[in-house]
Parts: sequence; structure tokens; C-alpha cells
Amino acid sequence: MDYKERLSKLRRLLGSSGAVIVDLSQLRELSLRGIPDDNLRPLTWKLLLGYIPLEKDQWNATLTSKRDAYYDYLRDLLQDPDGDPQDHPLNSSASSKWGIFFEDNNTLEQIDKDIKRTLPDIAFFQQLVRRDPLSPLSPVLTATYNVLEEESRSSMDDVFGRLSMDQLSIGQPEMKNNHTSAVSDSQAPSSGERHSTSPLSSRISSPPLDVRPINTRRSLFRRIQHLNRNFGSDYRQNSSSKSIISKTDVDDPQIDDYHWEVVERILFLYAKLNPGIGYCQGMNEIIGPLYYVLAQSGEVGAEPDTFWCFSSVMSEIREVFIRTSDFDEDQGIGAIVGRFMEHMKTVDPELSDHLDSNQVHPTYFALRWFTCMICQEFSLPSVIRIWDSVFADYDIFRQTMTNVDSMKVQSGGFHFLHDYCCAMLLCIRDDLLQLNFAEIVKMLQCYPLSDIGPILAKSYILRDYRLSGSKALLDIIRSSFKPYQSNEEHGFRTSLNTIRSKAAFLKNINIKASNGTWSANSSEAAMSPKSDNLRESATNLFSRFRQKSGTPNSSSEDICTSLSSSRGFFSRSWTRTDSPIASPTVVLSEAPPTSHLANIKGSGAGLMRKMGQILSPSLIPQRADLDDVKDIRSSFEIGEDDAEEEKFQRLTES
Amino acid sequence: MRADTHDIPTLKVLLVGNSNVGKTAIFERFVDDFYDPETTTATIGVDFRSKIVEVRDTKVKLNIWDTAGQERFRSLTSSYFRNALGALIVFDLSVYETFEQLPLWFRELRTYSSDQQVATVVVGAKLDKVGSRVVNRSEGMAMADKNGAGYIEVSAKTGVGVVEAFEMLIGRIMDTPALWKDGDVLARTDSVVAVDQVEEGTRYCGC
Repeated sequence: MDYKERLSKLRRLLGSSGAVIVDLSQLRELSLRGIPDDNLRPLTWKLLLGYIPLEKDQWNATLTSKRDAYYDYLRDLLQDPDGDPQDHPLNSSASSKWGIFFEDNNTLEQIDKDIKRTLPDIAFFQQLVRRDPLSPLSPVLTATYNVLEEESRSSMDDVFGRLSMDQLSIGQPEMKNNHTSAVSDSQAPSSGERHSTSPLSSRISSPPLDVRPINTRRSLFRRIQHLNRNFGSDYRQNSSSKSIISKTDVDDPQIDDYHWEVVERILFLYAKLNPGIGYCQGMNEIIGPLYYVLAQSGEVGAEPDTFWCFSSVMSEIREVFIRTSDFDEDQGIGAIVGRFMEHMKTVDPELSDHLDSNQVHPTYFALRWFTCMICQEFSLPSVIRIWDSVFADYDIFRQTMTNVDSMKVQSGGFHFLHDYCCAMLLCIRDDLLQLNFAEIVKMLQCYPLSDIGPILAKSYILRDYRLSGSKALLDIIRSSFKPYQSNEEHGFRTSLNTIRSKAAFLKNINIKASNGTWSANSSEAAMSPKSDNLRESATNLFSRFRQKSGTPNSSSEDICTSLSSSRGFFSRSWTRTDSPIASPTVVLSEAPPTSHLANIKGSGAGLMRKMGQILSPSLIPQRADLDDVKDIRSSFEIGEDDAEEEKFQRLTES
Repeated sequence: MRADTHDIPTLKVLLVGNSNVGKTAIFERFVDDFYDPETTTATIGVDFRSKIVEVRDTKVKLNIWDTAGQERFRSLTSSYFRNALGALIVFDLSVYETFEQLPLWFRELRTYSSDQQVATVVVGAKLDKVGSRVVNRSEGMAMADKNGAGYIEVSAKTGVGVVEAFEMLIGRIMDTPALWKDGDVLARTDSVVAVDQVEEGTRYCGC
């Protein structure tokens, strides 16, 4: 489906001419590859996140009641603790309102510091929130004040005016006339008025009766006024507004809010209402794009809408912010990162090994990716685009089945985020494979790609894989892995990949040079879904071996050492003296003579048969003599269980 | 790169301290000689970079871990403390509370780093904010002395003291023989570390 088609379908789906109930699955499908119209994004996100219902005729009522609820919270929670004669600021008892007040101020200070550190590079957040008589969070309008303000803020209005005009003319041709649509209802008066040159008096003369201004809306900023001595005035001077507001005016009910202040207020309220989580660093990153998307159009309810959408997002990922869950097996950031790497191991065992062997613990990078929903890794427009997919893939009713084991239990429903993070690694895997610890961590912490196109392309394949479990999709992913060095190397690597992908068998086997034979330890864990049967065979093989050899507790290492003479043959194909793989999966320093073939036939035939399944045929001819190949091939043919048993018998004795 | 650094000993050092005291600014100033007040965001988890420096005619490779300061990340960041040989414990000269919390950071370090003798330097940051200073120099030095740490004041904004802070830390590591006994740190190169890790498994990370 091309862009135009998606656009017109989405417009039809959400517009008044479409069905009265939005088809969620269609909405998700249309949004998965990016919401084609910026102006439809706020509405689409609200639907995808479950903030508003699918029934169009309920949008208005829902928005009204949710927004009112938010305003009520603010009225309740922004009260200063005065009035109670028994209580006073020096009261140290836990139930003291003043005590809570001071504790809140710590939270507030933390939020304030983080917001100011996070958002200054996006000019939007330094701008003033547009006044709107419909919002209880707008300054109280008085005629004289407005005239002055209007003049001083004319430059700002130009910006906003243009913005809304563009949006109205391009974005919402259908929405404009849709009176059941909450979006158009709430937007029409504000946007229309903004860019028109309607006389100021029209706003003042007809204030909506049911809007009760929240006079304490700026009380938060008074509390932390001491922190803003320098910051506030800097920004007020730098911003497009010419009005420089002195610090004493910080809680003047007629002062406009900056967008960053609004974000602070939302985070503070969220922390107050969710004392189990409170405020954690990282939330500041997540709320940024949400607010930006919802507030950019200047819609009156942007603040409450952001609060509710943020709450929806948090309900999916809240565990990553809970410290006591850090080391929990099922939830929390540790578990999420663990499962992510488990999944990586399935998709790209070679890279996974490389990271492992270089001691690059996934928390060094993935912790931040997941905690901030990759906000810190990409530019704001990219993040918004990625989130389109994340939210579109998000199944609010949790009906989507995941068919990949490593993805089955996930904290939160943002599976696409996992796909995307996985793709981030895959897109730079060829580089990563050549780097050492310090270089890898640096690259992963300062992610080098800014073009998200290729990453998204891979993410979709990974998503399909997750949903279908089809191994063919993994092969597609792997087919793009860059061959290492020369053509010969290419052959080697392809074979190696084939081996790896099939070699669950070699789980726990890490082959290294040792007297020209093989030993093993437990870092090779090439697990591929393809190899279920092989894995089973291998398990049986090992357990039978243990029984036969009378050493039930012998490790795979012992077994492999015993098998070494028979398997040494393969070394010639795999010998690498200067391996780029830090923990060489297969490195042998010495190639055993061809005479070992005799041993293979004699003792390790059963095992060899398995190896035959593992080995890509192309590997063998590559470096072995034709006769050798013949021999190997014939030894692979030995298939009957009895024969295999017998070989094992001999094997254990040898 | 690999060849150049091959024989250079690697030292793992940490930047710890309360949130928003300027750890990342010091880190970036030192590693990249870069300071941008606009783009420093709160560190989530940990940032890592390495840099080769020469102290007392010995080249060493510093692997620097810049940790998140917020309480929420404490349990995660403490896991990065293992095998650290030294730490810069940073506080904000203009925020008294960050100074008061220094003992807590000493305690965290001793609890979670594998070596009790981990070398430490107390770093008073934001020296450039002349008017807002609330911790005076003698107070800072007394706190450092009491905990057997070095003391230095720096400004990431101007760059004053940043390099010296790291040099002081390296010097203290070199002067602490107990840190060497066990792993013979200076002899430990990248490649040796890699083998260590694979073979021993228990000796965790030298980087």
C-alpha cells in the first residue's frame, strides 16, 4: 500500500464519512509503517493507546470527562498545605501536610532539573503555551492585560498562526465539518481564532461559562522558584516572546506557561498519583515526544491528553522504572534486557557471542534503549516515527500471539520496541564484529546511524518473524550479514553461519586450540529454532554417551575432549590464526592429518552423521580432498540406530 | 588501534555522585574536551568511554564509567563498580546536599567494588559558579581526608582541574600497592583481560 493510499484510507477511517466505530485492526495496519499525516497523529495515538474509545460518538464525552478529571487532580494536588492551624512547616511528623509538601518539592526539583536538561534543544518547549479561553489552565483573561500581552507576543502568534493554518488546510479537510469529532470540536475555536485576525474582544466577551480557571496552576513553579533564578529569565529572554517576566511574578495567575513547565506539571502529577513509582529519570525523555505530538497543534486539551497517554504508556513499561524489579526474573529492566539478548542470540548468534566474549553486558546499552524507548538515540522526528510503529503494533487487547519463545513473556506490550532494538544491533553488526570492548560500548552508546529507514525495514521482518515464527524470515535477515574479508572468507563465514544456525548441537561447546584437538567450554550457545530436532538428538547423544562411558556427570567438555580426535578433521576448514572473533567459536591451531579420517569412520561415525547434518556441504569441498569428501559422505550415510549405538560403544572405549 | 593499545595497562575508574552534579560534563570534558550545557541529559544507566593518558611517564588506558546519579539506578549502577580501581566522587560546590551525601557514596563504593582499597578523589564540581558556592575548600578537603581520598575542585565549563582530577586519581591508584597485588593491574592488557575472562570466569572484568 503506498503512501497516498494509506493516507486516504486513514482519513476515511477517522473522518466523519467513515464508519461510526474505528476499525482498530485497520488503524493499526495503516499506522504500522508510519502515520501518513502529522495532523492525524494525535488522534491516532490517542486511539492506539486506548485513551479514547473506538466509537467516534463517544470521543467528545470521553475527552471532556478525562480532561476534567485531570483538572480536578490539579486543583486537589496543587494546594499549598495551609489552613490547618495544627500543622506548620516545621512539623516533622509523617502525616504532616507540610512534610509531604517538602518531600514533593524534592521530586519537583528533580523533575525540574531533568526537564531543563532534556528539552532545551527543542525550541518548541521554550515557547509559551497558547492561551485559550476553553482551558482552565490558561491565564485569566482581562482586557487590558490581553492587549499588552497580545502585542508583546505577536511574533509567537505568527508562528502558531502559520502552523494552525497549514494544518487546517492540509491536514483535516474532513475533520473540519465533523461535529461528532472531539478533535474538530475542540480545535476549531482555538485554531481558527488564532490565525484569524478576529478582534480581541470576541474572546473576552464570550468566555465559556463552564471553564473554572485553576488559579494554583503555577504554584509548582513558585515552589522551585529558587532553581529558576537564572534559567527562567534566560529562557524568557531567549524565547521568541519579548515579555521578560521577573522572578517575583512566577506565580502570577496571568503569566503564560512555557511548554516545558507544562511537562513538569504533568510529571509531577503523575508522580503524586503513582507513589509506587514516583518520578524516575527517563520519564522525562518519554513524555517529551508525547507532549510534542499532542500539543503542537495547539489543541486545548494537550496537557490532560498527554497526561493520560503518558499514563497508558507507563502502564506498559512502568516496571522498568521500579527499582525493586531490577533483578526480578519476570519483570523489570533486568528481565527485559535479558530477554532481549536471548532473542538476539536466536537471531544473530555470532553477534551475540561476540558481545558475550567481549564482556559487553547488554545493560550497558539496552538499559537506556528500553528505559527511554530509544528517545536518547534518535532525533525527535525519528522517535515519533518509530513510536508510530510501536503504538500501532501495541495490542491493547493483548490478542496478538507471539510465536517466538524468547519473546513470549514480555513486560509490556511494546514488542515492536524489541524488534527495533534488535534491528539496531543487526544494522551495525558487521562493524561490531570487528571491534573490541571499548569500541563496541562506545558505538552502542553513541549509536552511529541516524537514518532509521534501514533499521525499520529490518524491524518489520523481525516483527513478522515474531508473529509467525517462520524461520525463513530469519534466513532473510541473516542473508544480509556481510561476508567477512575475502571471498574465501566469505565461503568460510557462510558455512560458519550455516553451522551456527543449525548447531544447537554445539550448544555449550566452545572449541579452542588444545594440542591440536578440541575441547569445549560453555560459551558457545548457538541456538536456532531450526535445530530443534538436532538439539534433541544432541541431548540424547550426550546423555547416552554419559551412560555408556559410565560418567553420568561428565561435562560436555569432557565428552568433547574425548571426541576430539574424531572431530579434529574439521579443523582444517576452520583453522584461523588471526581470528577477528574475540572468543573464537572454532579455532584450531593445528590441522590433524588426513589419517584421522580413519578414526572418524571407526569411532565417531554416529557423531559424524550428526555433524554431516550440521555441516553445509559447501564447506567440505572447499578445503578437503575429493576422496576425503567421499569418505565423510559415506560415513554420514551410516544411519541405523543400531549402527549408531555400536559406534558409540566404540567411541566411549576409544 | 588495537595494536597501539595492546600493551597498555587498563584501569577501570568510575564517576559517581548525586544526580545533576555534573558527572557527565566532567566526563565529556575529559574524554572529548567538549562542553555543551544544552545537550547534557540525565544519564540513564551508565556511559562508557576510554582514553589513553600518560601519568608519571607511564601510559595507561583509562576505562571510564560515568554512572547515573539518581537513586532509582543505584542498584543497577553498583553492579558496574566491580573491579574498579578508582573513583571520582563528584559533588556540586553550589548544592550543599550533594556534599552531605558523599559518605554515602564512599559506603556504596566500599560495598560494591571488589577491592576495599579502591582509590578515590573527591571532586567539587561547578567551580565556575563563583557566587553560588556553598561548600568551602577546607570543608571539602576535610571530608576527603577523613575518607582517605584526594580532593580537587573543577569546572567542566572552563575545563579547570578536569585533567588534573583524573591524573590525581591515576596517581593514587599507582600509589596503592594493594590494588596491584592481586591482578598485577599494570601488567594486565586488553588481550590478557580477555583470556582471563574466558578461562577463569570468576575474575570478572578488568575493563
